[in-house]
Amino acid sequence: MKISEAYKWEAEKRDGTIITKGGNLQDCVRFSLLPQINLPKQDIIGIPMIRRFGRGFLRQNFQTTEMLPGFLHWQNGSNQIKTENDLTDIVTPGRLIKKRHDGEKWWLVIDVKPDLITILKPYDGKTKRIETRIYIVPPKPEYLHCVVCKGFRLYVKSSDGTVLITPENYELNL
Amino acid sequence: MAATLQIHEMSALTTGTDKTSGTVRFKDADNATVDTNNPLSVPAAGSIYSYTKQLRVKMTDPPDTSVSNLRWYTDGGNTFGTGIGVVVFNRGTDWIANYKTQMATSADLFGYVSAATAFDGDVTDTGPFLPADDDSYIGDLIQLQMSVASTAPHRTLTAETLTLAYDEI
Repeated sequence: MKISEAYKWEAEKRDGTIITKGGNLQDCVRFSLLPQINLPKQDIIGIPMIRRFGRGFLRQNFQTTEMLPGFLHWQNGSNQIKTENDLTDIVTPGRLIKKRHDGEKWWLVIDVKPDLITILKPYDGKTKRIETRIYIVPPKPEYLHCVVCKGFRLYVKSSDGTVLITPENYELNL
Repeated sequence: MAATLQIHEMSALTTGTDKTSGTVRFKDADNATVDTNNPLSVPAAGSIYSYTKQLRVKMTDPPDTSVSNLRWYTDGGNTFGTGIGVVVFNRGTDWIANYKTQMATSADLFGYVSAATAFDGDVTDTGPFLPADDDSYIGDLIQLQMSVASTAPHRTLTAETLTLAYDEI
């Protein structure tokens, strides 16, 4: 599911009419964000509303991998890799690492200590002290639903349902 | 239904490769392939320049009403390091083949940050973009280029992220 569809919205006019399209909320007495996945439902009731809009954020990187500082000691048949630098701030369980060259396999990290990285499966390859790359997690998109009310704005993040309340004219960018 | 937009790396005015949540790699070759070939090597003196990159937004699902206010920005911090920069220029809809000489007109990409001054992405091809624009490119061509000066250290760069924000109703 696209993140922009994690919530559907509807608004109720004074005469009971339900609208699901458009941006004008001036005649509305209720605005609801209806979760399509496991997110909290959000309702705005009893507050003068002005308009609504969605705000999308797409991202792209300029790199796919980063080189880790120092050298790592890859040893054939072992799932433990000695490090020459403390990489605990950079490498965490769940990240992928590989020897520096193109065509090398990625290995899943399951534990990190100041001088040792443990990977899920034993490394099978040439024993070598070599520079090592870490895979950069691709940046995720985000989508905000915004309701402009008299005196404030309410932004709701589609990724986790977080509600952010700002001044009426504040343009939130993530 | 909410619109679907994608960030494309362009090889012509209306031909591109989807790079949404993906990677655009500056290199010494004119292609969109993300690999380690054709790296930018630190020169002995002066600066070298990557082939230019041109990005544009593609609408692949239409909005209920419209999409508008396309803007690009970074986090404002250039962590590529000493001697390495990225510049940006709005080409409007004026496609030009990518080249590796220094861009004549440009501004520092990292000067465009979210809260203050985003880079306007629909100056020439202006919004609002309508459901009729579905399955087409919208907004302006955003041209980028990386420079590497002789003062740069020899190393693989850390990651930087470019964000596209848009509004829709």
